[in-house]
Amino acid sequence: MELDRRSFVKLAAMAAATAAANRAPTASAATGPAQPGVSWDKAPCRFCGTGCHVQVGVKGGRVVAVAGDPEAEVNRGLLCVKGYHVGLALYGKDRLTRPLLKQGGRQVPISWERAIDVIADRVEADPKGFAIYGSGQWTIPEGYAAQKFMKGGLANNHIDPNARLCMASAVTGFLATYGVDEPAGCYDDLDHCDVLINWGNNPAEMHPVLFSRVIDRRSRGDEVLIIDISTRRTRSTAHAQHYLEFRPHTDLAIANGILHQLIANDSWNREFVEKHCAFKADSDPPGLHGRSISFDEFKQAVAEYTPERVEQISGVPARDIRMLGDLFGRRDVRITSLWCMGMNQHTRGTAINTLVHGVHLLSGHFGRPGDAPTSLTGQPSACGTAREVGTLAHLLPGGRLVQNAEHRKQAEEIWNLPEGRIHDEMGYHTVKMFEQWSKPAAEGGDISTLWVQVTNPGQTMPNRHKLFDPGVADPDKFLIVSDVYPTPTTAGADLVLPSAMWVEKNGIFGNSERRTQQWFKMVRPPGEARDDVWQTIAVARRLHERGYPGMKDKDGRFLFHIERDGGGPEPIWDWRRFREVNVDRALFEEYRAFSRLKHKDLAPYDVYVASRGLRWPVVEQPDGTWRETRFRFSGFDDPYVAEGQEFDFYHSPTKDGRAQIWFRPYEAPPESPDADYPLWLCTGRVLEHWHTASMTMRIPPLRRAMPNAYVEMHRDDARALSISDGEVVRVETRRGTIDLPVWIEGRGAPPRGTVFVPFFDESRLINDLTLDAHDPFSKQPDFKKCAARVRRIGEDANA
Amino acid sequence: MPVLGLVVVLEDARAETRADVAARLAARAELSGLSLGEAAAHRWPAVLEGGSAREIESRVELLRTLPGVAGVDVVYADFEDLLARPPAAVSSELHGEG
Repeated sequence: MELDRRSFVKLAAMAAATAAANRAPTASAATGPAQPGVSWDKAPCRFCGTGCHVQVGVKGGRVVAVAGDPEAEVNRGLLCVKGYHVGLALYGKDRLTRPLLKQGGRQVPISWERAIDVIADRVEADPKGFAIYGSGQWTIPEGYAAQKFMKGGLANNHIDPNARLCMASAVTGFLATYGVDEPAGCYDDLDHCDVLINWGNNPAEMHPVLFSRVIDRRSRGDEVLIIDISTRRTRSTAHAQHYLEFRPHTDLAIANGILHQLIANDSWNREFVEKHCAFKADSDPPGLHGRSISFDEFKQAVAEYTPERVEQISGVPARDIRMLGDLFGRRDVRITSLWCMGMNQHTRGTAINTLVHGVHLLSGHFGRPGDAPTSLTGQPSACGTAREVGTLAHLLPGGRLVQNAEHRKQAEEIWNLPEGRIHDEMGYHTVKMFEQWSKPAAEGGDISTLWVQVTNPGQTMPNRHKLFDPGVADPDKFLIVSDVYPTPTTAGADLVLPSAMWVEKNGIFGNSERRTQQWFKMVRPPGEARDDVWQTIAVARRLHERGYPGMKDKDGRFLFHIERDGGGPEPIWDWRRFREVNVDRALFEEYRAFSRLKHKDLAPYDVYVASRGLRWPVVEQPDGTWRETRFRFSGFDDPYVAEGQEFDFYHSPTKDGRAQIWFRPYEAPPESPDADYPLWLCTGRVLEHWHTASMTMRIPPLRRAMPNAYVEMHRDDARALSISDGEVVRVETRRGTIDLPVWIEGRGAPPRGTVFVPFFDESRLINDLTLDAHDPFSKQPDFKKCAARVRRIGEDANA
Repeated sequence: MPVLGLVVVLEDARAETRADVAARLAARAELSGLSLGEAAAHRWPAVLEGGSAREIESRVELLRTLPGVAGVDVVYADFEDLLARPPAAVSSELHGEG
């Protein structure tokens, strides 16, 4: 019998591999590989923002197999090392299965009834001091429910996602350039580009399935030039023809150098720019939309960034700056730029984002397949939930702003709320929220209760000691954490709520290329773990039962009213009933009304059920089908560009259909190496672990492959300190200290004067050392650079 | 991971490259659990099985570093065997202590 099963498994594995190798869906593509007793259904992967689809095999109530989905355009049947292990993320032995309340210094099990009461008590005691910190791992309905609960129910805008730590500068970059968030292009650009430029980006490890699309093209004989502009060599560098190593923070000088070259060589795309672009520079006082300037002013501003001057600032040879300028000046090649945390986690994050958009706009490398400036995201629904649902402290769903009276009115109408319910002040952004929570009330810390859902700030907040450690707060502060596994955040929690994850619940994500992806629950969550969206609705209902006025709409109905078939409210706050009703469908259909307000149209829920995701705007056709959009603002594809126009930036900040080309000067970073702290410290991720590794450390092959954090050092720096490979050393900054083994010429290779430490290891919290300085517009902290020193353990720092 | 479905991506689509890689595979005893399917240009479908997750991992890594191989994409993974073991063994394996 076992032999039979194994034979079947091998046949299924070969069928999946053959389908993927041929890049052609097979008969089994829609139903999953044939395997006795195993039922298959589609879901997007739980991990990064790429949005690969997997086929999930379920047997006996458990996920037993995973296959790449050959019908999915994103990954065409392929998976990365994390993706093919994703099913095992559900089965770590220490899943949280019961609510836990801290009593007498210990977390003790309590009932859900009691847990919901505790939260409702905290809200009633101080509704203005209640905050929610969520994430780009929230499903769209989860984020939407939390958003409506806070902004529509409590009239409180203190809700922000961890996406603030990873892509907020991309958002402000898009807004300042196009007046609307998210990339114009899509992954199809990777199939058409002649040149791929990675700006401080390592897709070979962080978005491997996307990178393999380009490598696969090369194996087919396509010529694709890869340029790696980075502060350290990575696995991506190994595939690049050009590696341009720059001094940390000086990427702004490089981008300005390209802009200068385009003008100096008169190779900028005059026709495109004159028809479709305008110029901007910083205003005084600074504002996201700055001030308009003329082309001559722009030309004068970038004039100082000659190749020689850029070499002086950045360390990148002048000949390489000329090479970049020449490439962008060519009309016969198509250029795609990709970036992620390297450009976003930057105190000049908004500035460098706008500059890279500007390089593409000034050169006209925009809007044709393969010509695109594209930011990637690290979380599966950073775009779908954080950006589109608008769970940031200043936003409402659909790109609406809480400070705009008309936008608030629109939201109040869709939510059927009394006029004036939504508060008109921005809530606290992430760093501020944690400052106000960790600061004692007597000193002005006005966040009294913080509910963390689907994320792990106890490991990820910069300058962690200051912002997070529970000891910093006064005893009246209260931390609620909904999660699936114990983490450094749950360890400090007053109340822990066990959550369902991934295919234990219904869900919808939105990936990096505007693709909205739906899946159904397939297995039951363990023990008493429950969906995050249920947790939010249950608290709202408890407050409603207690007569809290914000939990009613203007007709007196419950804030999350769903009409039961045959009339009357559906009691979705009752867990048993919740599991029987598709609450996602109801919330998504309500949310869709917002999506049309900024041309990010979503199709009905059931259209996503039948697809592997669609890229918005998704517009209904005369024949009743729904058409997605691959290239926004381009007349040949975007339905919102008027007939006959080649391009139209229809959300232009200058309201004239033009995108903005910015001048943003290079400025020195907030902290640089000095005599006491002579090294740059850069932090980041690794291939095997997803972010803080709370899931991937429970997957044995991944844990074995990368069991602990390390510090990458240049051989000469190590030699100068008499440090040998593998030796445990002390890494210090002005904010903290950590002991780590040294890795010389390991996975990545930093240049002399730089060290790199990954942040996945909860037993070695590198964020005790990082800087909480942040970008003035996006409020995104800079995790990529601060001043550090390394010394042998036992040696005096001043010796 | 007891059984994996793979696509071995070759550096190019030439028959010589395929023959060279096939010869190298045949010469590596550690890769005896690898069954190759029919190559589609530079992509070669394969199934890899092994006694333990650790064994399989090291074999995939070996494949990746073989001359002529540009990359290895995993497209299918069955881990029912891992979940079907007695609870003690499962928890040990799931937490990397085995």
